[in-house]
Amino acid sequence: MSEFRRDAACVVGIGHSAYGTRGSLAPLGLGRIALDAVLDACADAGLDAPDIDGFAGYCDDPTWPADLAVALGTKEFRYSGLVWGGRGSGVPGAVANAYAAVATGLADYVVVVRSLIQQARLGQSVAAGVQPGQAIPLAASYTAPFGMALPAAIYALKARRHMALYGTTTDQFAEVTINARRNAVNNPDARFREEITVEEHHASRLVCDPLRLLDCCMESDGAAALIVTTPERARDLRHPPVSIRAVATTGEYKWATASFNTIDEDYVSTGHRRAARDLYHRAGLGPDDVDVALFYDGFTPSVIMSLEDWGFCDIGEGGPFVADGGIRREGRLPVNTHGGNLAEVYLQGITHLLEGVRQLRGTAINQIADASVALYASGVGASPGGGVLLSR
Amino acid sequence: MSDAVNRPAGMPDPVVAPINEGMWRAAAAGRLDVQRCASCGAHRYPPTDGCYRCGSVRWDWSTLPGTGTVYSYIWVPDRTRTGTPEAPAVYNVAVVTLEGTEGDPARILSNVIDAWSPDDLHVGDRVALAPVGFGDGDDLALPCFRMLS
Repeated sequence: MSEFRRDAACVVGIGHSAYGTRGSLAPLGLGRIALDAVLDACADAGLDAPDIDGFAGYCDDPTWPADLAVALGTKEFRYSGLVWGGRGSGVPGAVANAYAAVATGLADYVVVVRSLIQQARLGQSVAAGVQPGQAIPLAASYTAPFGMALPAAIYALKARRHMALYGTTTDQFAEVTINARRNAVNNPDARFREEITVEEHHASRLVCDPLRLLDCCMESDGAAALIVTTPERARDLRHPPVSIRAVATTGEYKWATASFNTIDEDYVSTGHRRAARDLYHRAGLGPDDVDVALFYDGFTPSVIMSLEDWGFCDIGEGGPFVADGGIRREGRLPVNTHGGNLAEVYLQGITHLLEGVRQLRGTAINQIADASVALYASGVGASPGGGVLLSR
Repeated sequence: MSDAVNRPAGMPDPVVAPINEGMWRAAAAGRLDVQRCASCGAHRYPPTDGCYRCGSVRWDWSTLPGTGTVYSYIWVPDRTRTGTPEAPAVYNVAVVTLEGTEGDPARILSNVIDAWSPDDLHVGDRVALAPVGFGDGDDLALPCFRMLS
């Protein structure tokens, strides 16, 4: 593997649009909320919006950079890059594109942006993004006809085998949501700010046994953005930069999107063990150096498997790790200190990166004292996913 | 419910294409056919254009014994049926590791059509092919499974 140039780019601005319930921002439209997020990030950075000269997106984002560039008054449109594939696994890929673009001189200021309005209900699709009655793509022919319909089902299959192999319990899944809700209580941007109990979790509607409604993230609308530039350019901007220490987008062998046919040792995972290996190697850091972890939490088993995949415990020990409060703010590894997809908003991962930046700036609502390294890790999705290590 | 089949209602039919038509037709004839590399003999599923093991693009259909082992499974509420608190209306989706394959284990995602309640299915249970037809004729079927007791 080639040597990675670490700390070659940094985050200088973060921003987001208004957040809303599923479909509520449709009257504004994707372009407008994306613009709101980019402008908010520019204001945060102290950067003139027309100086943005690059765009990085993921999750097959339908908001075209060319349209955004016109709305922003972009003077020089130098770069755009998209990461293919759904379910939000592509955040590190978008960061990698932005990182590579500014580090190599393809562009000066690249904005990573994601805007989402859930008019098509991801939570009720019969195949990735396909609504009942619509034609399915060829690749869904081996899943959708068998009722493999809900995004939750992908995690539920992994959760069941995790339970069978390691004795993981639904109480432990519940603890992931309990933690997310607890962290969202004082977050004014969060949708679900009431704490829940294990009993309330177990009483919630069965979505896809072993997963219940309170194992699932919300359906929501919104947009978020972060601005990436070089450390040299960052000196002229408003905040001390948060360095992108390293990024890795390594996918697993035979993962693709049909993750039921990985090799055995990869199945009960989020699909990022090779990415974790590469990320820590590139960063010259390890799990012990991480002060805050932002784990993609579309569904609760994602957090438990991420703890294992990213080396915070042995394989199979993710359940006990959360059971004794390990992921709470006071625990061994504070996780999703903003509430995450389960409690704050579901924007397919990018809001977790915003929280990582706030933690390292020292401006988070649930600030972890002296946080200097934050990890973002993708969930289960189309390969490649991966991770990002931020540092100050 | 001995003659009934536990399958989700309202799900789309698969797309029938050159790369998969053989398996739907085989299932309708009571066989489980999956792709086998014509160069190195590795089986693979779901269908892909190239062999993961040797890179060859030449392949044939290969008939497997049709038996397998439950690797994982889930139960999903079936809103088209009325259940009771004791016997909720649920269908299963199961990942089955197929027997008789060469190469990396080949798993198929399917339904165990004679399993009706969460107590019926466990990781490690053995199952066998039980095709369920789709489309207008009788020449295409989904490779579903039944319990082997």
